[in-house]
Amino acid sequence: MEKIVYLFRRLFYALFVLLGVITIVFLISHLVPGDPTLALVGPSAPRDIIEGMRTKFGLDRPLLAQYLYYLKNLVLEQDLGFSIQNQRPVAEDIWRYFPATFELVTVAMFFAVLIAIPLGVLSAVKKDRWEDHLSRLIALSGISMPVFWLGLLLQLLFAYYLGWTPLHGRVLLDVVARHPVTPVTGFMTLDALLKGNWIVFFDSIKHFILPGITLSYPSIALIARMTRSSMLEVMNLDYIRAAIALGIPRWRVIFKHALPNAIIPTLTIIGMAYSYLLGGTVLVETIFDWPGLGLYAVNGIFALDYPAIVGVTLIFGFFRVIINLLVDFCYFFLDPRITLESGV
Amino acid sequence: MLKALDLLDWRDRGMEYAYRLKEFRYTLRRLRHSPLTLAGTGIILLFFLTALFASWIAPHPEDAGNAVHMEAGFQPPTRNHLFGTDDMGRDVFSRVVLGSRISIMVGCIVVFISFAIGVPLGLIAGYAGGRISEFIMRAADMFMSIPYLLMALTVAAVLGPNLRNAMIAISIPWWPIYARLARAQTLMVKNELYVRSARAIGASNARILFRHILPNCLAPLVVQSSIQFGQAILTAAALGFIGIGAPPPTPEWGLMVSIGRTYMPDKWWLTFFPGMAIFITTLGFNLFGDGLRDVLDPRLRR
Amino acid sequence: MDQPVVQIRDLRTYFYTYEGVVKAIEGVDLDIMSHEILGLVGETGCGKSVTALSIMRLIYYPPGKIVSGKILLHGEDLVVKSEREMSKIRGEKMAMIFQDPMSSLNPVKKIGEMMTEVIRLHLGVSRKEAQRRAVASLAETEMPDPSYVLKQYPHELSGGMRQRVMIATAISLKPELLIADEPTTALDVTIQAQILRLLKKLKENLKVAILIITHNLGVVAQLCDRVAVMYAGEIVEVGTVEDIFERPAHPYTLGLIRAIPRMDEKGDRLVGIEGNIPNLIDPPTGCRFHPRCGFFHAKCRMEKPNFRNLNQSHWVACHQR
Repeated sequence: MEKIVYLFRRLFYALFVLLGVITIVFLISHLVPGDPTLALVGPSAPRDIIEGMRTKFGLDRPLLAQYLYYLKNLVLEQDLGFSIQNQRPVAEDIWRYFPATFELVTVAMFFAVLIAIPLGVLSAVKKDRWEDHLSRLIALSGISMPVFWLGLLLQLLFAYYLGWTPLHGRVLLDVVARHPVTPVTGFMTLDALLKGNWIVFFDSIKHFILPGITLSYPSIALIARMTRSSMLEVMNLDYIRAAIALGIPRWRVIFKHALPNAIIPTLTIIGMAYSYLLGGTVLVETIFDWPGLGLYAVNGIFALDYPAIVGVTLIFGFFRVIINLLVDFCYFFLDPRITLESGV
Repeated sequence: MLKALDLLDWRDRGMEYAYRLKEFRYTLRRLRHSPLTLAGTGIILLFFLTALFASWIAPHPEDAGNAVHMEAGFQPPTRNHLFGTDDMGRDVFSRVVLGSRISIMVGCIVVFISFAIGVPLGLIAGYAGGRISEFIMRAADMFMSIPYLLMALTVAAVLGPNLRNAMIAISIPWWPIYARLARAQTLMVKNELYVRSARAIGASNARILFRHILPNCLAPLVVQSSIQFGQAILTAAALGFIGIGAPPPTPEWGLMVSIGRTYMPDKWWLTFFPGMAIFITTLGFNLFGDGLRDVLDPRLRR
Repeated sequence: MDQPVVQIRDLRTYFYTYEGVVKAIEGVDLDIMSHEILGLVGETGCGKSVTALSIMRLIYYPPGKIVSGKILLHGEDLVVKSEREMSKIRGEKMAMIFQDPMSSLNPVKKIGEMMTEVIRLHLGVSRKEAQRRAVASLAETEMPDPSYVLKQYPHELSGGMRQRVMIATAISLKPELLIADEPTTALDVTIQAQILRLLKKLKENLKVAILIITHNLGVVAQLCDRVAVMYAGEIVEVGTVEDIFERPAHPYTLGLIRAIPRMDEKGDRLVGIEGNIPNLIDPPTGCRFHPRCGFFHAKCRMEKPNFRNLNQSHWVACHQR
């Protein structure tokens, strides 16, 4: 019973933060100099649509009224404005481009966790030896390296010179044309897998490699560092020594006694890493021509498609809040010490 | 009564300074033992010196501006042009060197703004506690929920693409980082003896905050600032890459990578060197900040 | 006659730190007999915990290292054994319990998980069998409702129960030596008494030798058969409980015994020992106690005293006594 109350409290808090995010985004979009309709519709939209927006969002009313209109339109109708890039409501565009980004981000997250945690453990166990220094250097370079530069270099090396991976794009268009994918979930790779469409599936996988690695690199750094410091802290604790004193071999103590404890604070970092990943999509999708939300936003910048940019920011903020919520839930299940009192 | 306060205050400060001097020397000694930190310090020094003496180091300083030498365009790295020349025939090396000035400016301003907003808020939150603290921390949570690159991008796009707006845009999402740190430190220090005795003699809250609490929070804040400096350069470069930042022909590193991208893969030097500059510089700040943190962390001592 | 379980010969353990080399243990000789409770007493920092950790080979470099000496377990030298070999010995032949039972138990593991893992690792039995043995161990430590305890997490138990769990885990493999490092210091007084009684009972029932580390002479008086007194990294006196309490020989021991406030005497001041414990990076020459000793002679500063036999069981390392 306690657990359920805890979950509800976290849920309410998340909703509250979500409201805050919406508010912040709203305020930012009102920084647009000049006509506020620009934030919702862009300057070169058809006349009638502009006027329609003006009334619908109450743009001739005071700020607070506008805010309420904005909220109402957002929640009830999912209306985020009109995108001039594709002459469609922003919400539709987002719906369309979302799967590609989601797949990319998920893959990148997998890479990151799979590589970073062992790296962090290695670093901690071999503290101050060359393995540690090397790992730390790799990790450090992850948060120092400009993601876009890394992507370009990888493209140059692996796609252009070595020809091992495709240069860009999510999947070769003619491949998809010849082997069409029936949408089941909307996620192309998953759909291809489910329907046994191996050709598209493998092609898709090939396209994931470079953007996935590029995107995940800073997160690898972040997670590895946290894992390292967390492990170091845990390994100094008494119960580790007590476990060794009972004759449990060292490697087993590291992986089965220390790591489960060390992972817990790392979870928060994984949540933060999601932020990096989401932000990074803007750069990675641009370089690799990946048809996702990031590319949509960047294109929006040049087209002065403000509602698109604002919409993407909102969606990403939304996802971040959800991820945080999930992390909280995970904490709850992983650490038996978390009870009602220690929540929030 | 004011005199008594001052006397005690000076004596306390004397002791504080003596203690801090000893700590400082110990820190220096520890720093010297870490090769990575030394490397970081070296890089930072190199960076600052380059920016300072840029006009003298760069062989063709006019190339940072509007100079055009079409006849020398697209030369790969040679002895005359260490990093090659770009599409307008400009010396890439000079442009990179002069670009360091822009990066420093960005770093300083961004760190300054986010520090100036975040730290006082954090101090107040930690010291006052209760509703105020809740409010500030909730606001911080909200700001941190939006991926900072996105927020910076949106703000910069909305305000209009130029360097000034980019700097403002980057500073905005970062104040929560400083606020959280400052608050955490304040909470730790709040109940220490010297704070309580200052209150007992009737020192005002503002005085306590700035004279007693702030100096003790500085260590992690300095570490964070070092790291943020690097991140600011990185983020500004990202914005420059996308196109919201300094306009051409400014030798901003991110912008250079972006322009160079159109000439990939043949003219690789156009993207490689500016990107490398971003990388090394940011790495330096991270190494330094990391090393500093390791040394200053009381738990890792001895 | 009793056989020694563990024999320590000329053990030296040093710690290499930024400030210098801490000579924590400098030439310790000690025999632990089977079926006895041996108390190792001394002030904080005298090296008794380090001795225990050295026996278990839990000293890791950096910063600590067993520099020289032998630790013989039934004749085999533990100092030269590999980590792998030690893993087999720890738990099976020797076990150790630590001071704070809360921090010594892994918070994310249920008690049952922890105990069965240890048992299965060493004995290779099935999970059911391991659980049975775990329950039996817990019952041995007078734990109420042992099967239920297996399903609980450490934070759900009281301090006394946690210590029982630690003890139960330690004896579950029936080791020959149980080292207890300040087992009662972190507990309430009433629980302390229970745990001490339990230890005594275990020694009788399980025929296990117990090395108990403590700074509390009261615990020693209640529990121990023999006592070894440590000062600044050296053993200064060894004897039976009667020897130590009724005929303390070494000046340091004398000071300790005198310092115990007595209920039956009237007095106004507490008696302490003058001076401070020495810096182990740069310890005093000769007998390490000489700067604080009331019986000081020039020789004490120059030569380290050897052990002298006072009677069959009683040894002391002092020039003057």
